[in-house]
Amino acid sequence: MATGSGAAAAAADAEEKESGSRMITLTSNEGKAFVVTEASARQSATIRSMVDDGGCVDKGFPLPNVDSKTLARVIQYCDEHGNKEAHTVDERAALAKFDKDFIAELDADKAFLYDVTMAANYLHIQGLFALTTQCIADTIKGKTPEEIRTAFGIEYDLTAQDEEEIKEEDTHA
Amino acid sequence: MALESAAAGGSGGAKRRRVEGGGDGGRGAAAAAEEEEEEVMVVVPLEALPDDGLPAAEEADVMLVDLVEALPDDGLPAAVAPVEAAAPVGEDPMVVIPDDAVLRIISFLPLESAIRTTVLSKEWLRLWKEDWGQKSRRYEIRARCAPSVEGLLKILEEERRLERLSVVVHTIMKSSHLREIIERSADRRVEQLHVELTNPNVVDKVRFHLPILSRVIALQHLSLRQIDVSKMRFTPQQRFNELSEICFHFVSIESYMLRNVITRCPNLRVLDLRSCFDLDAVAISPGGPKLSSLTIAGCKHLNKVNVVGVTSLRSVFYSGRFLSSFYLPRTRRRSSFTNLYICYDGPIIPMVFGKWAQDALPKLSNLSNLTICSNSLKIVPSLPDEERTTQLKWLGGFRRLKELQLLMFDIKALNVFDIYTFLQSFHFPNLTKLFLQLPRIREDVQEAVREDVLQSMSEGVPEYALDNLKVRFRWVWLFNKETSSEELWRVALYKRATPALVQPSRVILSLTAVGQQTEAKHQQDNLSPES
Repeated sequence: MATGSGAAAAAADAEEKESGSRMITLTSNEGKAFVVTEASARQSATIRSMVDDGGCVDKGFPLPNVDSKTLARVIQYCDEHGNKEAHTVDERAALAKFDKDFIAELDADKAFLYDVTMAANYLHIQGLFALTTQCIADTIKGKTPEEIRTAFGIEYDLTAQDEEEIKEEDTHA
Repeated sequence: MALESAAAGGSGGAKRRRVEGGGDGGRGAAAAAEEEEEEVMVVVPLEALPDDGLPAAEEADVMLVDLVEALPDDGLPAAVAPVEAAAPVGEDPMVVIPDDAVLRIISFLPLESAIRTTVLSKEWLRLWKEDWGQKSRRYEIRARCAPSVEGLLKILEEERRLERLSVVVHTIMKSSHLREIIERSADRRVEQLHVELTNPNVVDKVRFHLPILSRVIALQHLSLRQIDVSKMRFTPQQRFNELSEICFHFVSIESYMLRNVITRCPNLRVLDLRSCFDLDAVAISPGGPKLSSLTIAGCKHLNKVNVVGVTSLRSVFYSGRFLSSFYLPRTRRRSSFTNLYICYDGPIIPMVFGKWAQDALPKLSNLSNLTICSNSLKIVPSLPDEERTTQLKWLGGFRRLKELQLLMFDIKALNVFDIYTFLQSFHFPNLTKLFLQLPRIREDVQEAVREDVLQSMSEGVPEYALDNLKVRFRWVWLFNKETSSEELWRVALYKRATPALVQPSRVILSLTAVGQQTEAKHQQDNLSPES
């Protein structure tokens, strides 16, 4: 049901008429349409509020800030969290495991991780946003500034004047 | 429609970071080199979006910089980070993701790591300066100095967002000013608010309206000092849903008003009341907030504290006059109530004690930390032998007690006797730390006190005092060099405790000297809820 990659709007309409939950079409900035369940789409507070306002469900939602690759990954998360129950201990454990694997895979590709972070921020998907930002924070935690710069490939560009300023702040603290 | 406006907000914030002051070419090349294929972040200027929100397909590989965003709205020159041609792997989250998200990342870091990020690069330093280092403001308003109260209000109006606001007013102000400060706090979504008046001529002329404060919907921490709270009534809708901590120091608030506030704070965790002289009762009903820490000190007209139904309580700190009506939650086996500090600045009437211990004091067997003062210690020896067992029974044992602190206001031989009797009357199988706080004795009377104690020691404490003491001591002396009183104590206690020394050591006894006990000193220094 998830990332119906090439699903056309017509197909979406047909599915929507089916009994049960509505289907919602999300369109990436490359024009690719993704059909997802409403439960999945409601993981995003941005989309949820628009659905609840009664607008444009039929037309679908264009997402000019999200590319196809990122959107596919975001939907993977939303499907897992939106369509599955999390009542029993086992179900919650399964979700936690999904999150763990999901973020481990993303962590290997920092640029993509940032894309997903931004999409989660823009779409207000709380759980996903917390997951990705926490992951980036873990990279920073416990490292010296030099180690962080190496990890992120940050160029040291502070001038002597900046350094002076920082030192001054230090003495105030 | 809604989506587009959301997109505008999103991309506006999102892509500011993308602006690399240096030449586009250099950056583009570097980007292309480091991230092959389609990994390049595409920044789509909003105007370029067709109405359907779908950018033209060929834009995928083009690096677009939103020109509008290139001019920071704060008017500061654009961050002129000179990007060298050999920029390494473009993985700096600061360059790619929006400030809001980076702030969230920082919020996950321990403070030390968070502060370290400020020295990473210019961009990280900028974020500190612009944002998370600046969300906290403290203003002191003095006569003939900027800012004036009016000036402050204007400043507050211009602030973007403030998390913590502290206003200390040393000069004249009106109730309406206070009211406006509250309103500005609401607009700036302040989470922690501290308001303090220091001018005694102003304090009783100005009223703080608590009901209006409910407009500060994000408020989590409220601290007032030297403020008179008005009797303005609450409407049913006025609530403090986020408020988790209240500190009122020298605040004039009536008991019923306090009760009204507490019932409107479903998430209150910490309540700290010091020198609130108008309070006569502090009572929290079982259905109220899940309070975990309660501190009451120096509220000299208080005669009743009832928190018996607040089972979420972890610690209670009380300092002040003896209360015959002081109802604490029972320390059941699994209850969270483990930390009790009671310091009475006056004597306890033995006649009242029995009933009090029975009705009001819970069984204390689950406590892990207990602090009591010499006024409380006195009660044990003062009970007749036959009453001692029955009355003390109500206190339960101290089976789980790990730390015991005794606050000694005096060091007469009688006090040594009190300590012995206390330690002897209870069983402390798990005690690992015993702290004694001693009074600091003035130079000129030291000699006299020394003689007095030594003399009474020689007659004073009966030999059996330690016979039943199950605690095994190791005498670790952490004393203050400035005082000589601890020397005295060492002699006194050591002599008595020698038999216990043969046992393996488990208890660390620590001696610290405290200043002359005065009410103010006691409220402010000795009572530290966090320790």
